[in-house]
Amino acid sequence: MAHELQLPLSVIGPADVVRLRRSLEQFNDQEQQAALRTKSGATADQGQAGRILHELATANKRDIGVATDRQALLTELEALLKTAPKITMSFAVEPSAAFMTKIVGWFRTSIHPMVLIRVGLQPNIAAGCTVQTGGKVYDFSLRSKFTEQRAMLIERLHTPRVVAPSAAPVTQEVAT
Amino acid sequence: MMIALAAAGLIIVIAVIVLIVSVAHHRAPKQSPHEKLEAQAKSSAENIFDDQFREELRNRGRLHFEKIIGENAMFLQQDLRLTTSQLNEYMKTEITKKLQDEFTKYEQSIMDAKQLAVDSIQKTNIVIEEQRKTLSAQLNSQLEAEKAGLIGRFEEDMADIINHYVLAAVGNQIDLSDQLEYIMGELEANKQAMSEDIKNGA
Repeated sequence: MAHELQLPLSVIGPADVVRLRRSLEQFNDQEQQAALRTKSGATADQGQAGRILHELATANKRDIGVATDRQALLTELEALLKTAPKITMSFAVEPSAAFMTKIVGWFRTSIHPMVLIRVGLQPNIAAGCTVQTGGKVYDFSLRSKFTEQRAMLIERLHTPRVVAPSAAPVTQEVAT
Repeated sequence: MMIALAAAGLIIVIAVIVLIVSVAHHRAPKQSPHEKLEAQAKSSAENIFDDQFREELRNRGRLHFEKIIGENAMFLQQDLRLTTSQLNEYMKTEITKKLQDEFTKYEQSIMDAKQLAVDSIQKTNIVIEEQRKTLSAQLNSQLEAEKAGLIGRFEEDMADIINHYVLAAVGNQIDLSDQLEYIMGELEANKQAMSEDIKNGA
C-alpha cells in the first residue's frame, strides 16, 4: 500500500514522484536489456535520478537490483500518485532545496507521512507563503498580515503626529 | 393803447375847434344883432379862415399832434419797454420755472433710475451671494465626498499598497530562510485545521 511507503525528504511533490517512477522504469528497462545482452548481471547507469531512487529503496528496505523490489516500488509509487494528499505552497521566490526539506519534513511528521507538496511562485505576496490544502487556502503572507492589521494601520494613520523635541546638543566634559 | 391815443387826438381837435370859434366870436363887428352877426360871420369867416390862418392852424395842429404823438410815442415806448421788461421777466420766470420743473422731473427720473439700478444691483448681489454659497456648499460637499472616497479607497487597499511598497522597496532583500521560523510557526498554529482538511479531502 502507498501508506506503507517511506518517502525520503528529497521527494517533495508529485513531479518528483513522476520523475522517480520514470527513472525506475528506465532503470528497470536498462536492467532487463543488460541482462539479455550480457547475462553477466552488469548493472545499468543510474544517473542523477538514481540517487533519489537509491534513497527511496534504502528507506523502504528494497533492493533496486532485484526485479520484484523494483516492481513493488513502481506499484507503490503509482498508488502514491493516486492516493497521496497533495498540498500547494506558494512563495514569493523559489525556495531552496534545504528550505523545502524542512517544510516537507514538518508536513510529513505533523500532518501526513505521504503528503506531496507542489511549489508555486507568487511574487506579489512579498514574504511568507500560502498553503492550499484541498479546497482551503491558508494565507501566511505578509500581505495577509497587513490586511489583518489594517485597523491598526488606519488607527496609526489617524493618530496625530507628535514631533519630538529636538535633542539638546550633547556635550562631554573631558575628565582632567 | 391805440384807442387811448385816438381819443386824446380827438379831444385835442375838438378843443382847437372850440378855440377857433371863440376867437371868431370875439372879433365880429357890432351891427344889428342878427345882421351883424351874419355879416360878421361872413367877413370873419372869410377874413379869419383864410389860407394863411388855415395853414397856421394846420401847422399848429400838426405840431400839436406831432407833440402829442411824440409824447404818446414816448409813453408807448416806455410802456413797451416796461412791457418788454415785464415780458422778459415773465418769460424768464416761466422758463426758469419750467426748466426747474423739467430739471426736477429729470432729476427725479435719474434718481428713480439710479434707485432702480441700485435695487437691481442689490438683487443681483444677493443672487450671486446665494449662488456662491450654494456653489461653495456643493464644492465642499463634493470635496468631502472625494476626500472620503480617496481615504476609503486608500484604507480599503492599504494592505495591498503597503505590501506593494514593501515588495518594491525590500522585496529582493527578503530571504526565505529568514522566514522559515515564521512560516513554521504559522503552520504549527494551523496544524489541526490542515490535518482535518487533508483528512476530509483524502
